Amino acid sequence: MRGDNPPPVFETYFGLLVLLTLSAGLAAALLAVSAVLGPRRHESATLDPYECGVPSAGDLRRRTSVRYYVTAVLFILFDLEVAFLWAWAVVFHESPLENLAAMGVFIGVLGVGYAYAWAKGAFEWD
Amino acid sequence: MSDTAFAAVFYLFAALSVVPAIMIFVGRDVVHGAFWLLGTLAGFAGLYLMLGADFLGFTQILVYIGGILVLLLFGVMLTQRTPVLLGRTRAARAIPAGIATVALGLFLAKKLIGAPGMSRLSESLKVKGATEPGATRELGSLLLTDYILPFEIASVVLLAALVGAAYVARRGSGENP
Amino acid sequence: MTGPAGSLPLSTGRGSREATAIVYQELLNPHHAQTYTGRAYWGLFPFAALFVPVLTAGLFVAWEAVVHLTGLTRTTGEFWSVARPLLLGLGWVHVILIFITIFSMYAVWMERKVSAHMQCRTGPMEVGRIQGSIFLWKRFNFRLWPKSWSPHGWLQTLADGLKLMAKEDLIPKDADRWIFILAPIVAFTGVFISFLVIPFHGVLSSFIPADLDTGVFFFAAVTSIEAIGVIMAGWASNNKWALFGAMRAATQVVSYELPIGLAFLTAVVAAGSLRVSDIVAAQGPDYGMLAWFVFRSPFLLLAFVIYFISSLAECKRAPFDLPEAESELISGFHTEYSSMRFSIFFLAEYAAMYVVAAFAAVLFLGGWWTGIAPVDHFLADAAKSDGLLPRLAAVGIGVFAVVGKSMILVFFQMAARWTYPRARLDQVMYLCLKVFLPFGLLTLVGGTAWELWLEGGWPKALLG
Repeated sequence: MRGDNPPPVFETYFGLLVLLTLSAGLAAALLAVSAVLGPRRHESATLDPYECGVPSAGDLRRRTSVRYYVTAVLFILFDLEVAFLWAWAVVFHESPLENLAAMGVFIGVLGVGYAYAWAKGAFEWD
Repeated sequence: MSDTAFAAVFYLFAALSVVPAIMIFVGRDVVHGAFWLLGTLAGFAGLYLMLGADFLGFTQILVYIGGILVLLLFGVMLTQRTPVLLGRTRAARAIPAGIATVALGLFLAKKLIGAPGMSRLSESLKVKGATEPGATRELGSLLLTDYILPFEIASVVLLAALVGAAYVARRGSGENP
Repeated sequence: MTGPAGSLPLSTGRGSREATAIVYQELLNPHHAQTYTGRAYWGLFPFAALFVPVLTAGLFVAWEAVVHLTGLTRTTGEFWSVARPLLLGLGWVHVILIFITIFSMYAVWMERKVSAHMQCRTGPMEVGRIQGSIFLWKRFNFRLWPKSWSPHGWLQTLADGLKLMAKEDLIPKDADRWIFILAPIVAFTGVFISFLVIPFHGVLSSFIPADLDTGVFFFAAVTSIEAIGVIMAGWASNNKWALFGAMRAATQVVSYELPIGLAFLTAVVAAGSLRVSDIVAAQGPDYGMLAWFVFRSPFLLLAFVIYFISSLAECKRAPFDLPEAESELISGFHTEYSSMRFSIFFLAEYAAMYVVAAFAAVLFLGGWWTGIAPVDHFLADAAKSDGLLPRLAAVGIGVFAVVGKSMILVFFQMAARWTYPRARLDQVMYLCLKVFLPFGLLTLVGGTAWELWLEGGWPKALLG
């Protein structure tokens, strides 16, 4: 179903770059239009942080929980694992049985880590 | 693809990777530094794509921008009160440091430019990048034939990291959120 | 209600007080729940939902005609290798922008209507009332539509949007100015470029904006860019609620990338390619609907379910809408955003809703294939032919199929939002790490084994 002569790789990505630039420019243009057209009526409390009318107290940029960080660490490890599998999935059909076995070992080893993390309670969010 | 367009895009991405990197060092706000990193990482992804390494480029986006940058931001946000400001480096330290940096940069540049094959590198990369289809399939088959052992060892390395992370993240180790 | 025929609403004919009374009557009538016949209205949704696919198909057919007649994709040479991406890029940006705008306007209206009908209300009814009608046969008082006819508040979103644009553009005190400004742009761009790899039709000449060799991987990668935009917004706003919302959003979005990746991989293994158009091409044209990936194996069906639920979390929709939980965080990461900046986030959110539904339709539900074997054969033949008319017809049918399937999924996203209560963060993480991750691995391994069986690999392996 592909084109008669598919465009060279660089041309494809050049098109992608054009689209990326244009879409960012589009969003910026929309913002600029509204910045020019919108009204400006500042009162004393207009620019205060919005907390339903109550004056805000304390440090507004609070320290966040360490759980977020730990979840991100776990995510990156699994994400790397999946990144390997992307390359594997494309060539699976070339020699299916061997590739399935290779992937089975790969996932099996990580399954041990996954089970350990589960047993240690790393996935609990308390 | 015409050479000028290729060169223009290359310099665009080169600037995108280098300028934010400089801004990270010049700026004093750690969170701003983390956001500048977005530019550097995206610039590198663009360079990889230009060279026809599409899989590598998107892995860069997936793992670095989607994972490690988020991790860095979380880390910065949890460690210190913000706005996190770095102390200004004193001139007495900055001047020797600057000289050392420039010297090292010149040394590396000289080594790179003088390296055998370097003059032909850009030419060959351009030809490869311009004509060949994406290298994912090739990468996958190499990974499963010649490099099957490193592929499996990678899973063991990841296992070690996962065990370490799980140990750190185990229940009750963190403070109350 | 007794103004002269053809008079403008709210101005002459009936006094404005009377008109206000009519609006309030719609909204506040305590007997409305009894007079309302919900079942009859529900039947209208499939017809209303045709609106978007039909408009989009027209848009794409026009664009395809332009590309085909100008020969934009067939020209060669040094100059065109630079000019073609530029021209096509400009065109595609407009096509996609018009599409996002139409879709968002329609989807916001549809969301209000769906929520209203699920709660036995009517939702917006008045904006866009058409006063006066065209007589077909005056003598028998036979009109094209009623004398005063309101097509169910069809212009409500336009009115809301205009109001939003006329609002003041605020940057709160102590906000991190540049990051605050850049955040919506980053979020919008992240969603916008994920549109580019969706193959809306199978015709060769203009095809899709960027038919990448690693399309699925690209899609999985760029969704994380939106997460960065959200963190930027939350951190720059200098607001506690915004920061909490952003942290929740980022955690949720990055975590759910894992089950989404595993579900994608199951489809990729079945098709043997990361190119999205190859994956769609593998789902037809023979065997009609049965060639769709959801019906290919039980594991792919499971992968589809995992993807659909995870995509709700990915675009922060209920029951996973805790990043912007109205009842606790005001509005989450975009609390401090107003006017156009808020609209851009809003547009990105609705565009993300569509894009994940479209990707589910493309990967699992057959994409541009209609599921009717003769039509699919026509599509396959037309894509290969050189005639303009069959190609345009194939484009129209293909776009209609993709957008129609996605609209059905969007409807289910909305129905889910108005059915389930919001999950807590620990429940969201539980679902991701302890349910979807193991089941995702199961679908991948099982789906792979199933493919091996389909190829005849198992008998060969067992019998030697």
